[in-house]
Amino acid sequence: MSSITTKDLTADRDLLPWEAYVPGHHWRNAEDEAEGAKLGMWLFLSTEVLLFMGFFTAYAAFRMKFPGNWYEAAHYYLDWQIGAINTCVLLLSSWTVVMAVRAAQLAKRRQILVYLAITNLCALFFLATKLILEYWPKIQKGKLPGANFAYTGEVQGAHDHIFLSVYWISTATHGFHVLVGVFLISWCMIKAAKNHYGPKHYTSLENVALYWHLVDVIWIFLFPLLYLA
Amino acid sequence: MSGHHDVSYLAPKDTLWKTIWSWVYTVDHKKIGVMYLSAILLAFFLGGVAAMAVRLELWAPTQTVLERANDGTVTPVTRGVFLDPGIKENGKEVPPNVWYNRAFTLHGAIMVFLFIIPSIPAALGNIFLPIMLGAKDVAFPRLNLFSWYVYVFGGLFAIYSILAGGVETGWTFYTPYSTTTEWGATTAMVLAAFILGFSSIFTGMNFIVTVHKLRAPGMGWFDMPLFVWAVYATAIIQVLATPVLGITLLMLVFERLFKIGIFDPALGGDAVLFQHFFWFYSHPAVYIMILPGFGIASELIAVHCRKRLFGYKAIAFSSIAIAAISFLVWGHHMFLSETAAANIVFSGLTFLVAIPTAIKVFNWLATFYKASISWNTPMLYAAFFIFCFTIGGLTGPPLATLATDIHLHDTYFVVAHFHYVMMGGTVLAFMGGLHHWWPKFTGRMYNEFWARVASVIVFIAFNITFFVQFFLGTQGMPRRYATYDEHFQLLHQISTAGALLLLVGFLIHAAVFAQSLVAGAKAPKNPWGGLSLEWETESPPVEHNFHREPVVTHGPYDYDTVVPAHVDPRDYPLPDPAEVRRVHGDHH
Amino acid sequence: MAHAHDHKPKLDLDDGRFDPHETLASDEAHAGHHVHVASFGLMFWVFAILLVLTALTVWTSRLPMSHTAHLVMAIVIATVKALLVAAFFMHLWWDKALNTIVVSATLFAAVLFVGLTLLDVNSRALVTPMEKPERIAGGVQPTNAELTTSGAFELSRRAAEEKKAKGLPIDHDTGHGGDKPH
Repeated sequence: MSSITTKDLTADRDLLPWEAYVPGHHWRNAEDEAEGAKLGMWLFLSTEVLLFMGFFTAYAAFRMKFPGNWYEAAHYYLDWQIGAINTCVLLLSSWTVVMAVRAAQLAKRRQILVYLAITNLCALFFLATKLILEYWPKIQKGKLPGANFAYTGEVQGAHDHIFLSVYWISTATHGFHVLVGVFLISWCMIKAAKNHYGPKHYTSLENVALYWHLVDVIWIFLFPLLYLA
Repeated sequence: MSGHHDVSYLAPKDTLWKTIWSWVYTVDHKKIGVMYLSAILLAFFLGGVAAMAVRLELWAPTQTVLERANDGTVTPVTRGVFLDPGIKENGKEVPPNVWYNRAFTLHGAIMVFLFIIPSIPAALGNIFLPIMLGAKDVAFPRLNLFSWYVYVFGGLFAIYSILAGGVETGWTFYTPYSTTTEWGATTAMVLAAFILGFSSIFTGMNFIVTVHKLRAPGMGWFDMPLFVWAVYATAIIQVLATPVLGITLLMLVFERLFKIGIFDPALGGDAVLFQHFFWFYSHPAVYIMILPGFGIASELIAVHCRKRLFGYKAIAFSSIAIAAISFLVWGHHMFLSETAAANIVFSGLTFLVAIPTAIKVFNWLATFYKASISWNTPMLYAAFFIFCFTIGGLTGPPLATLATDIHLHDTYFVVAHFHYVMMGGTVLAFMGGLHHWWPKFTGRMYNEFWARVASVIVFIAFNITFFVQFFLGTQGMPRRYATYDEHFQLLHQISTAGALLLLVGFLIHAAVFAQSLVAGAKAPKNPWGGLSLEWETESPPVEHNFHREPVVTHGPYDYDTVVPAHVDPRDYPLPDPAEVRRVHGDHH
Repeated sequence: MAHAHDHKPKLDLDDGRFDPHETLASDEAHAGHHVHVASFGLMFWVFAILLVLTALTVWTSRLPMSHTAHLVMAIVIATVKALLVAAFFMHLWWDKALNTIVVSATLFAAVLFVGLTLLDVNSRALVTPMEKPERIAGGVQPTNAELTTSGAFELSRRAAEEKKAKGLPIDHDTGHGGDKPH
């Protein structure tokens, strides 16, 4: 491969970072690299799906065993309104992240930053709601998983504490993914601010967006299963 | 194109520090592979030490007898205890059984998570998969380096666990014992396996993308060497199964730390649910361990028989079939704890695995027919592999059959079956592959005579060690017991003697490798007359693998029409010289 | 500012496909490589449908149906939502088929995992507990009968009864919204 300079004769200015992007030495061209990175990301998302399948399988095993107990526990211990608002917030963030990728494809730097900022605000809202309105009151009232279950109010059945175990570990793991997403999106915002994203190169933004959609998809399942069913 | 990319990847830099840095911070798949190889050989040694401890403990059954001293006092004395250093933990005497449990758990956990799962893919696969594809590197070189450090990090957790008291749950960490045992550092070992899983996932992701996107020009899917096919199939399992191990072990850690109760019957949970979670990964993991071994066997047999492999496509597709079927059979580990409905389904599905496996074995055997076989060390190991793996494979159906499994479940029959597949299969293939590619990635030849002697010793010792265990198992000797009835002693002693001989064999191998590194003759580019791309570049390869990007013009096994690169054509008589195409390879 | 160079020649330095005549004329023009640029309208509609489906799943959860029906409804609606996200937000609809194959293989493994596990768990009772009563929280020694249902639950119930006996107030969250801080 011939050496590539960051200047091009046809341009009357310094190239922006995304224009001057050079693929890794072992790739044939940038398109292959972007597609390879995307395939890698999808494989990673596969592992995430199967990781969360552990929670869903645990959920399913006990849900089938104690349908009444779980239905009652879901409606008693969890507030569907908080869950629904958080669902809408995550859906909104998913949409804004789509729009951020689109802005990168159209070389609109300011739009990328605005959409990513909204995404991050949604993520922080989600986390704040979880911590302040869900986790903290539950800890105070002893609605804790397994052997830590110390709730002294009206219980719904003999397996409330297992329901809460599934609730805590799955939402906490999901919340951790949201937190990771906040850092990733912030990183993308820094790169976008430095003009690293444009029509020719936006691989990391696209892959962070894929990750963020997956976090959304996981919640799309967690919400009805835990709060409603 | 010239310059520093044309020197060997092993060439030292200007200063010592730069050389060390060039390894610590390398993104070169070959260096990462060599680092993996060193680490897994160390793990193999540690796991071997634990195995020797287990076998020595079983030299004699534990028994307590009354002994009368000269002054007439009678004291009870426990005999046959090898593993009892007499250390107190938390003010309590550690029972000898706990020490035995620790020995076999360490053997299992280290061999499975630190040695055999990364053995072929992360070490030999890392070094050779990109070269065999004609690529400069794997798709994500930095992720590759990261996966190596994740492996080291996980390994440190495992070592911490050993130093902090070890684990005595067995490598399967079955609940509720693993959540309630008071001995040792179980949580650290569980976290170690959890972390090592990520290393495995990253390697798998990397290989899948590499195979899809970085094949050299002219290399179609059916021009790939079968080792690549096998590692590709392995990578699929690594990506799809390992995360379930991750979540299982994470839930186990939660269970230990927070008592979440999902796997704990005392809290209303279900212990067998853990077994489903665990085996959903760990049965496919068995194929993560053996599939790369199949790949190596295909390479060894084709190259050292100097013959087109029989049924290339059948072998390639059977790898993918095994990967798919591996997800369907995990329930056969729980025939004694599942319901009949699940048992029947899992038993039936388990028999399916025999089909693609048998396809491979028959194709290898057919390749031997009228081949010009050179019986050097790699080929010897390939033959030993087929012998031992076939025994391992054929002892599978009795375990998949519900009625016979009731008798054989959790006996030494299972231990023997597993070791015939894992050690007789994967480890022998790994040793064969190591000898096969040793000249290529080290640039040195090894002493062929002593390597052959060692391989024969390993083969004989392996069979002495484990064949008797089939008899122990059918006679009812349960696994994981520190003691046994006296009538089992002879068989146990034969097995232990075999294990000691096995140690001798591996020590000779170690000496051969050490001698090769210090004083081995310089290896030619193509010592075996192979046709796949790694034999067309230098030994050891240059930093970016090839001087220029190779263009693939022939299949990896076209021995009937193509003369390999860098060999004397007089050594390669062909049926019809008119059809011969010389491969010129990568001359500088 | 991005708009300033929208009409500059597209620079393709890496793959020899440099085309000085190709410009980014409009919003919907093709970007750097042969990628699909999502249309604003379609993405907005997908977002809107996702919100409607969220409302729908909340609504169905309050209908008087069997527990199984509730579960099935929740899973069906969630699956439709997830497919919408995957197909449009995650671009699978326009991507190479390989990515869809990866997703399909994942779903195959996931369905097997749940399905075959349930095949066993659903056709038997839960495994009966081992006796380790001292590990239950609170230091109280529950009886075996209590353990066979649920140790932690029984302990909570017993604590509540003790509170009641002493005349202490017990928490009594009614209906939905039990988590709201008072």
